[in-house]
Amino acid sequence: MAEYYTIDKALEYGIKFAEKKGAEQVEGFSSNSREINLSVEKKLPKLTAGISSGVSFRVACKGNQGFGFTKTLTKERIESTITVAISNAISKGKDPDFKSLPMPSKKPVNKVPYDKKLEDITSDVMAEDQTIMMETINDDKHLKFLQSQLFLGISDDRLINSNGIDISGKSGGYGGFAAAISLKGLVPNYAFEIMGGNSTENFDVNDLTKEAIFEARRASAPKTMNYEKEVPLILEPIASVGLMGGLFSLLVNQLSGQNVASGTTPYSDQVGNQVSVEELTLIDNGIVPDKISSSTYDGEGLPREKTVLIDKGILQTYLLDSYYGNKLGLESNGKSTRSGMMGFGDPIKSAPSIGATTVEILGGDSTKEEMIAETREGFMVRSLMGLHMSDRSSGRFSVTGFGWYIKNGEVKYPVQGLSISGMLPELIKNIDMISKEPKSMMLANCPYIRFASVPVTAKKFDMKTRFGLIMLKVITALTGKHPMF
Amino acid sequence: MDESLYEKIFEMASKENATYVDIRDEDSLYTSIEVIDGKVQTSSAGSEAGIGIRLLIDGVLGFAYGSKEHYKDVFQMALSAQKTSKKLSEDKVELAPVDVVKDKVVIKQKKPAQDVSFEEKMKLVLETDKHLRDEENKIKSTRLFYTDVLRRQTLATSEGTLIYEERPYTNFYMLPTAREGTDTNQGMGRAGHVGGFELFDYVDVVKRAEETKIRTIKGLEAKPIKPGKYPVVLDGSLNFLFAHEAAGHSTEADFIRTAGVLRGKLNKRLSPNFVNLIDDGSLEYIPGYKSRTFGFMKYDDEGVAVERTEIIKDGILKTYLTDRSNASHFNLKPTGNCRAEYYSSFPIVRMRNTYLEASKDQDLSEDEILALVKNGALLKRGGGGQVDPIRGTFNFGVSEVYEIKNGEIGEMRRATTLSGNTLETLGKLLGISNTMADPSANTGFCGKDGQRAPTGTGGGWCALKVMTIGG
Repeated sequence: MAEYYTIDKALEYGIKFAEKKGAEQVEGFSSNSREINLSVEKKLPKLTAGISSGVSFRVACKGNQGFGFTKTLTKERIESTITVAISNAISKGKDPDFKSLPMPSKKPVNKVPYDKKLEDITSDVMAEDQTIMMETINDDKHLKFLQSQLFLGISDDRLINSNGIDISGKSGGYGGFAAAISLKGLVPNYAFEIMGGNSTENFDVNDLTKEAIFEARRASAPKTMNYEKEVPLILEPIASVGLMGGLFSLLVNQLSGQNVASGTTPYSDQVGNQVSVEELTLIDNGIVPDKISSSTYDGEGLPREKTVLIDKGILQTYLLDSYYGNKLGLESNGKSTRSGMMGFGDPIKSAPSIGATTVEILGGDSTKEEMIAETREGFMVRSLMGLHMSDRSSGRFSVTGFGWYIKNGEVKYPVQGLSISGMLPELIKNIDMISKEPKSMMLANCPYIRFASVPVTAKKFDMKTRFGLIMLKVITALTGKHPMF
Repeated sequence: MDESLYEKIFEMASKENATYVDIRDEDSLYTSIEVIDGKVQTSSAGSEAGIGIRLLIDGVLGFAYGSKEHYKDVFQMALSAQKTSKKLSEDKVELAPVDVVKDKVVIKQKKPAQDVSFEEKMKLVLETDKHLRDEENKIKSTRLFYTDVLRRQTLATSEGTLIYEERPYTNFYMLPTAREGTDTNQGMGRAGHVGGFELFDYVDVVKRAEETKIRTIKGLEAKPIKPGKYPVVLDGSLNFLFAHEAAGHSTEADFIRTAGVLRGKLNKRLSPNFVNLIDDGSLEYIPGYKSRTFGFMKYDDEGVAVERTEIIKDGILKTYLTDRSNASHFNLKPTGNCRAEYYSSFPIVRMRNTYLEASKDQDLSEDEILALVKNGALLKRGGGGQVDPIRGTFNFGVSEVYEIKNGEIGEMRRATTLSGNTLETLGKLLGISNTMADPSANTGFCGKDGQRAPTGTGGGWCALKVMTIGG
């Protein structure tokens, strides 16, 4: 068996080897992470526990960069990884936009604390939390437990570069989601809630379960309807910037320095211009103390920052790392992440790239109740499906949503299968109400937002399908068991 | 392959009274190149290695992963995972019996991508980039992704199965963006297969880039279609997406075991009698094309030989897609659909090559399919999708839209989305052509439980009575 290096030795050896092989600058990143992921699907638990260790290297050579990674910490594999990274950097030729790997920053460092108590969370502790979720939901006479998941991640990372950056530290988080299903109505309907934070104090499984129950109750017995109109649309916070994506996640993506530099966004050259209604202030905040997406440093070792992207409707800046900051004649604002698409989200496999942290939208001056009361006819939407298929260059989207029909200022009933489409840059000029209190979510702080007019299409189940579903209800009544659950 | 290590793990498991153990031992290689606006922006090369151990004791599974040199710790984590799961389990896991297999499968690369120099790969991407640009400078930005992966995995089970597999993937995306004033349109072209760099001998990527460019510019100039309900014709690429999103996911047995719109519908009619829903991992080639389908494999990640699974046969739901646990639960045959993205991923039920096919003698030509829709929309080229198997709602992206007026193909419209409900839409099929599409242009990465799985493949054109088109 080949000799395996410890992770520290692998990192240090790799940096020395890269310098010896001719790299003008080197950045080494090591990560040793532990995860426990416990889910229960109806009655079946699934627990994944694991440890992932690896190193990656970014090298600068002849005016360009190369990147390589390995999870096999042997001398041979580290050397071949670096050799290929250097060779790739040279083959690419000089990149006029690349000046240097980052230098140590003089900006203030906002330390995001690490909660050592996360290390006391065992899979048995998580099983107890799972039991609370399952039992509490099943105790509700209107609902059944559908599924839940708890996730714990602790990572011990180090980043060194040859310009003098040397940072290390632990980070982690604990969170989960719970889903409950209601068998009322023609089609069973479920709802879920997600919560989590970077310390044990920021996540309470009882709060999560309570919210999931609340959401599932109000989502029960949804209808389908024939509809084709342009009407006011209220976005619930989770539909704006939820973990599964949201409409404003698309906007944040359009403000990435990479998209701005390549002109694949309507917001290139728009800094200083009014891009939305005055009521909208959008922030990317990498240093919110309780968020899982916060950290002291970014993916290339620069301090994380709070960055106001849109202030009272006026575009202020973009999400920037050191490369795109330089390319656009600006300074990095600490938005480098190691979870990019090219590494499929794995911090070891991902070369540093621009990514959002905690998205914050400031509250307005309405209440949610006022927003509903002032809607003569429209919808309030909680989940949107298909946002990843949007045209990111234009902000054109067309999604399928679940929400509630509002008539004469009152929420009438839940509706599934809503088709909602539009152009995001136009839509943010069409916001007419924002609720006062932003809701604190796992990756965002966001209020309710109402758009004055959005095209909504929906289709009612045909007679045959409705008849089939009615028959299922009859079977359920006779057998006491719903065939779909 | 490290048989002595696997034996040690089996021995440790035996002492804990495990009734089944499987080990996935992986050491895979990755290369990726991203070109933005004619410049190599990111390049990455690396290796991913480790083991995943899954144990079954007292009808409860435990799973853990880590590095191979720490296999004892990984085993202890799997054991601890099993013990914790047991506290929560109200549903026993049993594994359907399967044949013990000893095999070495090396899916051939005529030009192994790992032997092709970075310079050659870079040259290909940069050359293709030039063909995404137009003389009138309507294409304002381009982005291209090249990736090759050599998945090298050994599966060893305590039942005696021992399979070493090398499965190569080569994949290429091109994304030009056209812009006029503040109006923009992003297009997509793709080429991919299970195999190596010979993909670019089989596929004329210059031509594909040129076509993608033209579509992107035309798409910018096209007007949006009015959102609403339309009779539609789907091309082969959308047949794949429709089969995958609208139907396939809702037949995955792990979803169904929890809840779903197709639960309890085995042997019930879901569609007209000419409709067959196929998921075929054994489909290597499509007649007329040299590249392998993107969902091709020999064995799944439980060592079950993959097969052609007729999920819906003559309109009747005949089976769910299963792994061994869910096959046993539903008393069905294992269909070889258990897949894991990495050694570190819990294996789950996934699709392979999924498409709709007409029953024998009911196969229609593309012209006959078009004739089924007098006024409606012809939709071409899929662009991702999503489904909610419990509610049954789905949607997927469409890159090219044409009006059909009085049976004639009319003006092009802008990219849009299609949506519907599984329960209803499967009954709306009017006809299917069995002339399958180019597999290299019909590659997808399906996301489920945080894992990605390469899937295919393009079927023939089909017509539906009504679907909802977005804006």
